[in-house]
Amino acid sequence: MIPWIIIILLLSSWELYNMRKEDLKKERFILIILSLLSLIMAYLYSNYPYDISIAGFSLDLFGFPH
Amino acid sequence: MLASRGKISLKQALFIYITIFFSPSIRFMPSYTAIIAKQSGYLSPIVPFFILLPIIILLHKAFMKHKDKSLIDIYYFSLGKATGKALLFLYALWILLITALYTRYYGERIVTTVFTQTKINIFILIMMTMIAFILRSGYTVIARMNEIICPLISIIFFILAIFMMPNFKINNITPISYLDIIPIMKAGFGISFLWGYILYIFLLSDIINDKENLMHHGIYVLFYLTLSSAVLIVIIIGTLGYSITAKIPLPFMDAVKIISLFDVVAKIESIVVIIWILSDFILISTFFYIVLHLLKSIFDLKEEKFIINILLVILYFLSMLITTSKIELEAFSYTIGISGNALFAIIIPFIVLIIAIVKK
Repeated sequence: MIPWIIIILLLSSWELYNMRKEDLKKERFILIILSLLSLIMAYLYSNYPYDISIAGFSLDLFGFPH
Repeated sequence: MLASRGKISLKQALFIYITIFFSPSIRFMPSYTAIIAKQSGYLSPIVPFFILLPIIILLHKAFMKHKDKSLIDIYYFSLGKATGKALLFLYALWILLITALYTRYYGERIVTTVFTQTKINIFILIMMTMIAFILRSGYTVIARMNEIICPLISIIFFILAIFMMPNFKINNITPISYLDIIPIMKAGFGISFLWGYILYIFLLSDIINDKENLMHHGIYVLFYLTLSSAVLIVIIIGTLGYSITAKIPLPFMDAVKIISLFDVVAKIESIVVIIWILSDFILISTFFYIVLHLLKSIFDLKEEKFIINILLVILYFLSMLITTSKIELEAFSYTIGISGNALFAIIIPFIVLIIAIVKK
């Protein structure tokens, strides 16, 4: 989990640094939202690597046997 | 000259379509058609040709009517800006999901064929890193790379098909009667989503030039894909038989494994892995770029390159969280994957393009 937090923070900070000279407010907002989303996914993957299955959830949701 | 303006030609776009088609088709088509249409499975690619032909004609007419508009703008024109954006957001989510699916398939394929003792996430991370580096230079780099990759894949595929001929048994693909028409149609509908990927590529139509030639070149490409798919299925079912093809996970790989020409040309399955990885690279990077392009349009962004890295991190986690087993992954592909692609690549575009042509 910790290596992923460091990687995500480094990537986001680097992109924010690259954006500093341009007027890119929307891009900054989207980047922050995506960074938060990736942190949530990193948490889920680190803590429940074999419990979460998007495919399994979708198959259950639509009633397909698997 | 096109690359300097960040645009690609229609020829490059259609080459990308052919390359993208290769990876899922050799994994999915032989076993799927063998399950449903049995020994007559090789006739099922005729069905998608006739399903996609109207889409190509409608796309061409829509581009001719709205000469200055991209396909994304045509969606906005047909459905209104708010509904169009909502629908395109669903497109972005769906394409991101199937990109995660294909990324996972790519990893699974490598760890089940060549590197059986290696962790899957290493290969997925390598792919993500490569895409991050290349896409920062623009999509034109991938289109240019594909001008070499696409003919290479096609040539190798047809050479392998010729090498498989000594093991081909005519009894495996006969008899055929009128009773096979319904199973052929069913299998044909199931595989037609692969042909529908042309629509995803044309979501990049604002960076594609020479769209006025789409009808002409598009029909040629549809014909080529139908022919190559028929060759692929006939050679595999003809070599292995439909009952074995339906049961094994990678029938193309197994058909290549039994190639032996005078004991000189043998054990050439590693070539398949190489062309498969090349095709996966083009597929994953193209679909990822389409998602970026859609997000840029939906949120009116000036630049999309700033979100490449972080979106790739999300794609990595999605591909790891998409499934816990390969069986579940295949169940997802065979049910929700087919339905979702049919909806987003065939049914919705058909309606939207008709509205765009009729609406004044």
